[in-house]
This record gives sequence, structure tokens and C-alpha cells, in this order.
Amino acid sequence: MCKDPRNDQELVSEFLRGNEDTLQELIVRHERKIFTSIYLLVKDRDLANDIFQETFIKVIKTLRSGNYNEEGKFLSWVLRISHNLVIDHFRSLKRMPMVYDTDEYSVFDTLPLEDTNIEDKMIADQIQTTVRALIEQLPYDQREVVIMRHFANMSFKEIADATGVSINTSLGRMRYALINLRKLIQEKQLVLSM
Amino acid sequence: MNETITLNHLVLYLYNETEITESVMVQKAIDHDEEIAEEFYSMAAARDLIDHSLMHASKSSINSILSYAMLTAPLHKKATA
Repeated sequence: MCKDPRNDQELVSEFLRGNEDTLQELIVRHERKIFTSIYLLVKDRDLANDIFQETFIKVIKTLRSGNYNEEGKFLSWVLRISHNLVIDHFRSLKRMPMVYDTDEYSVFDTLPLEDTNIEDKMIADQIQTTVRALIEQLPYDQREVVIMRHFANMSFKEIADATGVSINTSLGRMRYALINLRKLIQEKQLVLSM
Repeated sequence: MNETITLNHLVLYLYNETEITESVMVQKAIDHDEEIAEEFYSMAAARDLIDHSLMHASKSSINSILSYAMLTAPLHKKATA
């Protein structure tokens, strides 16, 4: 499958001109980072899917209302929305599942899959699952920095500003996250090779 | 640990957030100090693993979003799509 050469901003502009297909390209491009960042915070796949949907519905509404002014930073913007929704969830401590009729609208059912052989995919899946489980064991503040730096591509300065701590604190949290991950791997005697 | 290199410098360098002069200084420290090198490469290995933890949203979630977008598209845009 050919990668769409247009950047995020061009896709957003196309979407606003009425080309709905570009939304699918934006989702396919970023869904793994967005979904994983939500999942690692809430640790529940169903809830993560609910918040993922809620995030994009907010994205669509904001784009159409003309209030989007984050040129070149689409992913960071979406991740901020999802992060705020996760915080809202923790504040309310009650689930509000979103239900849509998907059977009637299955035209988008086929999303691209990576072309890898089954054995490689199984190994990769196993590593993914193990690493994710290790990240889930990190304290919340360390997980948060990992997500912001790795998935949102935020700098440590931006993370510090967003979380209201000093840059040294966010650097320290990342360092402890990395050290703890290595420790967990050693404790569980895991062999993770890519 | 080298007196001019802090652990935070190592993290910044690991994520390519150091200025060029700092980068040279940190790399030099890694090359000449086993303790710093061990710390750095240990963190680098953990960092590389994180990027392999990505997972997919469910197809039904994505379909729901795309359905929502189609159903709520402004009328004049639906007509031209």
C-alpha cells in the first residue's frame, strides 16, 4: 500500500473542503500512537476504545467549527484532547460508553494491515504485549512522560509545561521509567530482541 | 559520574534534545567513562523497546468514527463528495 505523501495539515485542509476520505488517512496514520497512549493510561481496552472514539468525535467537531489552529501539530493536538478526556474519566470515575450502529456502515471495514509473515508477526505481537505490560506497571507520572515523549513527540520542556513540573522533574521521571523498565525485564528474565 | 555530565544530560542526549556542544560533551563522556556508558546504553535499550509497544484501536471504533464523520458532514459537502 502506498503511503499518502500529503502531510497532516494538507489532509486536514482536504477534510475541511469535504473530502471525508482524508479523515481515514489521518486515523490510519496516527491511531496506534493515540490508542496506545490512551490504553496505557486507562489500562482497559474497551474503555480505551470508547475514549479513542470520543477523542475523534471531538476532533471532527472542532475541525468543522473552524477552531483548529494547530498547524503542523495535528498528532500532539489530538493526544492533548485524548489526555484531557482520560483525566475527565478519572475525575468522574464513571464510564459513559459510546454506542454506534456499525453494521450499517461497513464501507470502511478493510483497513490496511502490515505485510509480514505469520511467525514474525507472532513474535512481534508477543514483544508488544510484554513491553506494554511492563509499561503498565510504571507509576502514573512515569507512564505519562513516556507517552508524551514517545507517542506525542513532545520535548521535555513541553512535557514539563504541560504537567506543571520543572524540566528536571520530567527528565528524572523519564530516567526512572527507563531504569524501571530495564529492572522489570531483568527481574522477569525476559529476552526481548527485535 | 563525570562532574560536568548529569544523568539528565544523558536523558536529553538519548532523545536528541541537546545542543551540539552538549552532544559532543556527552558523547565524549560516554566514550571515556564505563559507568556513564553503561547507564546510557541501558536507558537506550529500554527506550527502543517502548516504541514496540504500540497497539491498534478496534476496527469497530474506527468505523464508528468514520460513520459519524459521514453522517454529520455538512450537506453541501456531502453533495460534492
